[in-house]
Amino acid sequence: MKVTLRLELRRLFSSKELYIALAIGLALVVWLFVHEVSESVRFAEEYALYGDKVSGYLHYPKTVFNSCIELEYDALPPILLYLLFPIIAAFPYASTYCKDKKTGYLKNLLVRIDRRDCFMAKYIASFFSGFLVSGVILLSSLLLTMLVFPILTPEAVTQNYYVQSGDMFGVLFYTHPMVYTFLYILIDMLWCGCMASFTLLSSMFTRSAFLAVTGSFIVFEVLDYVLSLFSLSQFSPITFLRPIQTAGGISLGIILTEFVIFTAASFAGFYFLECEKDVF
Amino acid sequence: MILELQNVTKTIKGVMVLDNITLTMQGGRVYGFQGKNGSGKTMLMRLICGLIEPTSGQVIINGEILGKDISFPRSVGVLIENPSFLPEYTALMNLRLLSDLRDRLSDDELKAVLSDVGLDPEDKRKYRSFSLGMKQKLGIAAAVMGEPELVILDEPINAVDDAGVENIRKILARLKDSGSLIIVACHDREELELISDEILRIDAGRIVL
Repeated sequence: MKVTLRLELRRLFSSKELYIALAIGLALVVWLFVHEVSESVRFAEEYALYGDKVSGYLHYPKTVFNSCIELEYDALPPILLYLLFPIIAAFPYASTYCKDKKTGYLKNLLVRIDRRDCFMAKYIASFFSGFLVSGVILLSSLLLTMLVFPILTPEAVTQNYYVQSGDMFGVLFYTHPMVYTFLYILIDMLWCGCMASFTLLSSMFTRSAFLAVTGSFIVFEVLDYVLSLFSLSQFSPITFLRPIQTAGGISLGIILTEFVIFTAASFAGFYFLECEKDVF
Repeated sequence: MILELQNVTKTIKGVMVLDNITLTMQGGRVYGFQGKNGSGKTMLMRLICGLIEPTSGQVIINGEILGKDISFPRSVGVLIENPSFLPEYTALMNLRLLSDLRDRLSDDELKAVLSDVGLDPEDKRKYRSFSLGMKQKLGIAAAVMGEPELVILDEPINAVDDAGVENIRKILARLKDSGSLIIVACHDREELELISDEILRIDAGRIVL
């Protein structure tokens, strides 16, 4: 399977879709960065002019932990990023399988390698593409923010942070914020891998690359909408992937259980069904 | 190489596309499949290379049952319907990627195969800019590289110029001499008779004598 996986990864790294997905994500990162810096500069200028009369809230500098894309709350880029993550994660690779079937390239592979190896390699490559893209985007935001903003340990009393002490890992955030951030980035990377591989399921039912790529997005958005109707947003991946934890009641147990369920469903659905299917 | 089909039947959505085919083919010969559109030629080829499974019956290749002992023939080169390669790579790169999966041929060997089918091995153009005939030649190159024991070509001379057809004849003759079993489907009856040792007529999923 190593050789097949190498081929699939090579295709991933030479695909323009990978770089388009990264460009979209990094554009959102830069957009937020410019927004945060200009906000901070504006505040500093106002503070220099008017001192404590600027506003009623307690003055406290912006830090990495409320300025990076993971931990900023009300700016548009993080909202867009987390909304579009299922598409951004799936875009680099997930349509590849769909195209392979459509063009007949899959036949070239299946007469040279074992079916199980072929589909396993495709699953791993798909998972890895989502894992990689989300990781690069989230870590870039963190690193870019660290260039300008201070890495001050968050002070809950300033009310400038969106994570509550009662939230999952809340205490960790206020004691070891960098560990919290990296831990959440890892969770997001794993989930984006899951979302990307989930798209392989939609590729099984369509020959349209557009539908294949948006399949995961549609599933997770519909799930988010339905769960929000029943006030169960804490179970929605779209919601719990944001490290600021916009819904109460999120727990590591929910995140991991759902991860296992969705990953197992996408793997079983794709791998076992495709191994049995005729290829025309 | 001995290829046996024993009472092979294939039904798709209630329609029998291959009907109780029993056949034995041997290496060192070229078998021509002849038949109308939709007669089952391509379906039979897909079945022989393990892309589809028979509804009943079995395909045995050198004593190994396809789908049970092996998931595809151990040494096979295939061109079924349209050739398909990665559009962002050159001809040589595409062959190298496929060759790495199984045969692991050297660059010189791959270049020789490209020359044999009439393509320039040093051509830096990407597959997406190839003409129809060039794509077809590359498809044939991929099917015959590494001199597989079983070669399956569906409409190999489609869109290929006269010089290219001559090249294909030479390649098939060489493969036949080296003991390969070659199966060709072609609408050009004269061409098929010219290159085949035996013609098998297929009609409504059956071999017609």
